[in-house]
Amino acid sequence: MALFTSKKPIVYFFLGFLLLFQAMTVVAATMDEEELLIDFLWQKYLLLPAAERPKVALVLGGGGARGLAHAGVIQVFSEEHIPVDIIVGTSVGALIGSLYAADVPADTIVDMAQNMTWNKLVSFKISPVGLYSTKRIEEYVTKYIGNKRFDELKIPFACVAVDIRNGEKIILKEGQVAPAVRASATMPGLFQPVEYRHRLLMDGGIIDNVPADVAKLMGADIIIVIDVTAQVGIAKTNNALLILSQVIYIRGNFLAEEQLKLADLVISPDIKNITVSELNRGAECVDAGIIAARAKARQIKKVILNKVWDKLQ
Amino acid sequence: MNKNTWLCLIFLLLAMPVHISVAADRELKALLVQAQEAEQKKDFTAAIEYYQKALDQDYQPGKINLALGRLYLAVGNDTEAEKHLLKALGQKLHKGDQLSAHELLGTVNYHQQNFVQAMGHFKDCLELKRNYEPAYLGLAKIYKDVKMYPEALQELEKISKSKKLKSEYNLTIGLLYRDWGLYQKALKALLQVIGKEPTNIEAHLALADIYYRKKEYSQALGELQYIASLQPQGKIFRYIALCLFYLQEEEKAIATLLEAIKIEPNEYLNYAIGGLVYSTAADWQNAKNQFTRSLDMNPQSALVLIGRGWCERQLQQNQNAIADFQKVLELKNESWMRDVAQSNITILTSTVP
Repeated sequence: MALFTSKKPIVYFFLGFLLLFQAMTVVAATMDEEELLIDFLWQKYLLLPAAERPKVALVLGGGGARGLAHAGVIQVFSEEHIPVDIIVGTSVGALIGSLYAADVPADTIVDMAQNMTWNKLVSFKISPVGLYSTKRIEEYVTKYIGNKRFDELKIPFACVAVDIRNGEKIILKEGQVAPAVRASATMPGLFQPVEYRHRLLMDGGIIDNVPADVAKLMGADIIIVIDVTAQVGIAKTNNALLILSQVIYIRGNFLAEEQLKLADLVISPDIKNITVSELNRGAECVDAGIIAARAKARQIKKVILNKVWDKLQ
Repeated sequence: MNKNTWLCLIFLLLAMPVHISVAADRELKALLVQAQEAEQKKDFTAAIEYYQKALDQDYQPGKINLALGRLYLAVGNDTEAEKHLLKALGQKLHKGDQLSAHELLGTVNYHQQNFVQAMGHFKDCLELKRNYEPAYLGLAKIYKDVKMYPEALQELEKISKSKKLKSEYNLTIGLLYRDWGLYQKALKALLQVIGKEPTNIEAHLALADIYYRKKEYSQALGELQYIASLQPQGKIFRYIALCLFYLQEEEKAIATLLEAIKIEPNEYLNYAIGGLVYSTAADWQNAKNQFTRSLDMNPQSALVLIGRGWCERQLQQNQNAIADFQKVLELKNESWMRDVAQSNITILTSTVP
């Protein structure tokens, strides 16, 4: 903000140039044939039978509290009437993705994200493998979607966890949803691993923080990734949880690079100063998600429409 | 002439200028009173005339130029407003009047999208009077318009508790949230404006815009019809037609477009939208006619060329269709419309023997 309060001529010159450029953009934006055409075609697109539409996958990455931005993105998808055919998530992405897949209204998901606390997700329970139990994640998901199984969800959904006994990446897409989500969102160190179908599972972010490849496996034609990966350069490292999550996200970022190449479009909410543990900043994350998704909505529609020209006439 | 006669003559000669001066002063005061009364009655043109006459008498020209600047701004003559306000600032003015002059100049420049100058004047206001709320509002509007939304929000936060500017604050923050894409927050703020000022057109227009973007066409239609009842404009009727079209009320949409044509007979979009409506009903010939009329008014419209190309394709006039799509490619336009035209050419050339 110092830029805008300074009186130095050079700063005014720069600001003047910026404002002039922006003013030109404002004038240019007044007539929008493209928007008119997209709206018109989108209406036609929504009338196409599902089988004739490309399969659109939403990949919700891991990122702790930062992942609450997913709720904002989902709200925009709902408001813009962008149908989603496949949802894949890791960690917090699994948590929010499971709710969307179960047809929980976007407004409810937003409300949930804005009021999230650690107390709703974990409870203090000392054991040799961790200080906190994530049983409450399971209860939390159950509260919203009941004891639904994957095959009962409205939108096909999968989430990713890792078996810490053998390092295997586990794609969870069968059986009950809530325990799978819990496993996908259980960070190592402070949280206790989850026994699930004879496996010992932990956070999917360890092995695949942005599982675009899973979306591909599930038959996606268009992959849209919501990337909330931690900005490792600004993370706080003043307690054990933050240090451990930092280790996970350094690795996660490295692994995400390849996965992002599979994406047709990446939505990156501007949440750079929010750390993985700041669940109390859910409202900010949601807004960032809405802003980022809204800015990309037109582009998303273009990418989708480009796949169906022959069917729209 | 005796001594007394001389004395009377001298007295009369001395008293004449005083008499003339008193008469001029009375006339000036009468003019200023008339000007103020006219301004209060919102008869701005009359007020301008009175102030112009007063200005000729060269009495407190700074104050009168300031008043003229304010009045020209009220009647939408920004050029004259700026001229008088700049004159006023160069003349003798009290601090309070200087503040008003800078605020009004900020507003004039903002209207003209001279954002750098506008910002300078609002900052001058803040130097003359710390925490001057209208200046923060002015700065917020500039930041909003140039899409520097966090900065705009920061300025608005400084007046969030202002009672005097409550409605302006809500309107600006509503518009800011709308432009930023935060529709729920925008709706909340704009509905508060409507709650206080039910006929605030700008707020109704912004609400209509948000509902339209959210594809809540019934609600958008309600807002637009209300606006049209107060201010019938071609653009509003076009949006009403679009809402009706998306609500699958094609006949009403066409009827509404006719209303738009009555107001703006040469607006190409009236016919372009008509073309889209007819093409949805698969009435290809009528659609093509509409697009052709639209192109007569704006031959550079990519939207209309694409629309006509589609109709021609349906009417088995593939060569014409290819020619129209080709014209889109020739437009100096790097937009997605080119991709649309190219895709259609590819489809057509693969089907044309």
